[in-house]
Amino acid sequence: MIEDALEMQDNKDLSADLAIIGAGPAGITIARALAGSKISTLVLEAGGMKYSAEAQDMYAGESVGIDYPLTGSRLRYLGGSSNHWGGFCFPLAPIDFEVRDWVPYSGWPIRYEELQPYYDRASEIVEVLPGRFDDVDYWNKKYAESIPALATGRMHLGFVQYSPPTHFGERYRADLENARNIRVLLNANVVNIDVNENGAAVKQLKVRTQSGKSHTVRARYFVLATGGLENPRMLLLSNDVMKSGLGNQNDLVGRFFMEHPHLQGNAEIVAADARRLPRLFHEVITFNGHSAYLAFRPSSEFLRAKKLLNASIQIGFAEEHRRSKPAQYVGPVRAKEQADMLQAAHNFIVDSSDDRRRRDPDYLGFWLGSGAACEQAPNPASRVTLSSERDALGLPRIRLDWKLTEQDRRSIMQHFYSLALEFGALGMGRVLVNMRDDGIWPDMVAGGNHHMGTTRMSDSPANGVVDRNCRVHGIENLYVGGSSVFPTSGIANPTLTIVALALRLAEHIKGRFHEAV
Amino acid sequence: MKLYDGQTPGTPANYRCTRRSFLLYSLLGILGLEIGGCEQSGGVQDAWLDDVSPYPEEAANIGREYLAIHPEERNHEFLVRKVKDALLVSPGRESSEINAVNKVDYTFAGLEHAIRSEYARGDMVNIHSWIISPTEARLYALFSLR
Repeated sequence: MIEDALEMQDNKDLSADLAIIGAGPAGITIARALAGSKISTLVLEAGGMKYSAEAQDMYAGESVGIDYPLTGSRLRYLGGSSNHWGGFCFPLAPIDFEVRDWVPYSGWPIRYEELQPYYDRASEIVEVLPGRFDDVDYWNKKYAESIPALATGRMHLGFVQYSPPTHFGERYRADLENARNIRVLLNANVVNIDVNENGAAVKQLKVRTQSGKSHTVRARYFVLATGGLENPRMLLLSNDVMKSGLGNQNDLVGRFFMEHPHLQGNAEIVAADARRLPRLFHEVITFNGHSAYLAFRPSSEFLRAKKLLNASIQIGFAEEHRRSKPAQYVGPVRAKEQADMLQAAHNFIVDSSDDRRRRDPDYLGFWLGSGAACEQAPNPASRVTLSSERDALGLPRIRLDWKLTEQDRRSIMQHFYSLALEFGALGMGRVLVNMRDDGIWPDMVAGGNHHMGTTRMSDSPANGVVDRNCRVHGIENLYVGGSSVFPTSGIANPTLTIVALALRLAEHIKGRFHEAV
Repeated sequence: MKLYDGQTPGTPANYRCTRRSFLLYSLLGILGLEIGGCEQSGGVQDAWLDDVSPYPEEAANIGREYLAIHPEERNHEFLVRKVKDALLVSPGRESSEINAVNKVDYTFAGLEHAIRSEYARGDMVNIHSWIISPTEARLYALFSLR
């Protein structure tokens, strides 16, 4: 059942076994996992069925570090930020879960293997093929090309699979409407999480609409699943009993904000022999109704040996170089540099047995652009706090201070070099790394709308906000869903992992109800 | 027979002085190696570099950039010696291979192998953001010294 709080009478006292704050991928996944059970579930969505500027404005705030689009990077209506999701899916790598002595604050309390079965189920939910994320043979059936083994030991090949993308509000709306134990309440803004006098349990939620109605929600268990920026905000502003906010006894809520810094065009590749460069390396592959794109990623061995952070680099065809028509997109200076390299290195990157120049003397080669996403090391100074500004409900807005480190930058530089070395070692092309190795992040760095780390998971409350089951340390009945629990970001776009963790959390919550029976 | 250790290679009965084998021997001749079966003629750099790139002007452009960054290498003999060193250390090429003079790509294959090996090992130089192997850079530098 889906209802609208705007249409309810004022001052309603609502109750359920489980209250979920937020109807994005995490909240909807948990609710659906409980559909048909005896656990009555109330999902509180702050927005409506569709986008509205009024609801979206609640996401505005201050960005005081690296400029960040606080409003544009998320959406506040049914389905949450999946409504503008690009659909990129792949799981975190096993190394991402490990304690890495070169990455401060690294290490998840759970291992990859513990999450792997949930990844398979999550893949079905986001409508991609379970497994197949590193399966070169499977995707290469489309082309049946000869795929060279990478030569440097520094990189390996993986795949991003494309979800349609799954917009959770639209895709699973019928499930929410039809499940007898699920009730979704739209336009229901949680304005405080009320805890008992010692702060050890949540008593109720205070809910308000923008039209001025107020309600309360009581439940045995609560899940906060409002996204990696809003989750810490809710915990911090619920400070009537615990003055520093909920779960914040060690001043960790909101810290460790991580993104995946994205760099576009920082590696330019010139090549001339299309037969040496498999299409699999630079084209979207659509096969058996699913789509994927290959990515170059650092090997675990290289990451360990060089003490680097993770990354993922994809390349795509840009344009041809011809004598009569130089490449246009890069400007005349770079076009000449690329053409010079194509010609100088011609014999090293073209198979002499079938040199296209003989048939087409005007042809010089082509160039490819790149897109890279980088792991950001956990950094307590990169953080979300509350602003002195207030939203339409009188709540403190968010204040984000996103910071990157030299370790982050140094890592991606090395991975660009690795790409260049692979192309050289395989005789496929030559690579220009268009990023100065001067210790300064390029101006063009942007995030991927991935908000992670702000309620990080740890077995110890000294190091994290939630435990391995995503329960807030010190609060018996409050859980957190979403990428805010990621202790490290890895390099995978977070939605698949968010859904996998939500499935795992739903199982845990089911177990708690069974224990109580 | 050991071609690259400074000793005299033999001349197989079916030896033909192909252009590319001539080019390698020219290179070795520059290095003062005693070789047989093919005489070195004038314009030593011209001779063997032509096989490296069919576009000498463009190769020289990159070579000039390299030498501007590494002016200490602006010396023909030094550069040739470094190229030879790279051939010597290039792993995976047995002497039987490098003496297989009937292979048309004999010399170029050796250079290509050495260069690919440098990439695979992570040996690289940065020439105004182009990441290339040191030997490749030195070959381009030699073009610029012609």
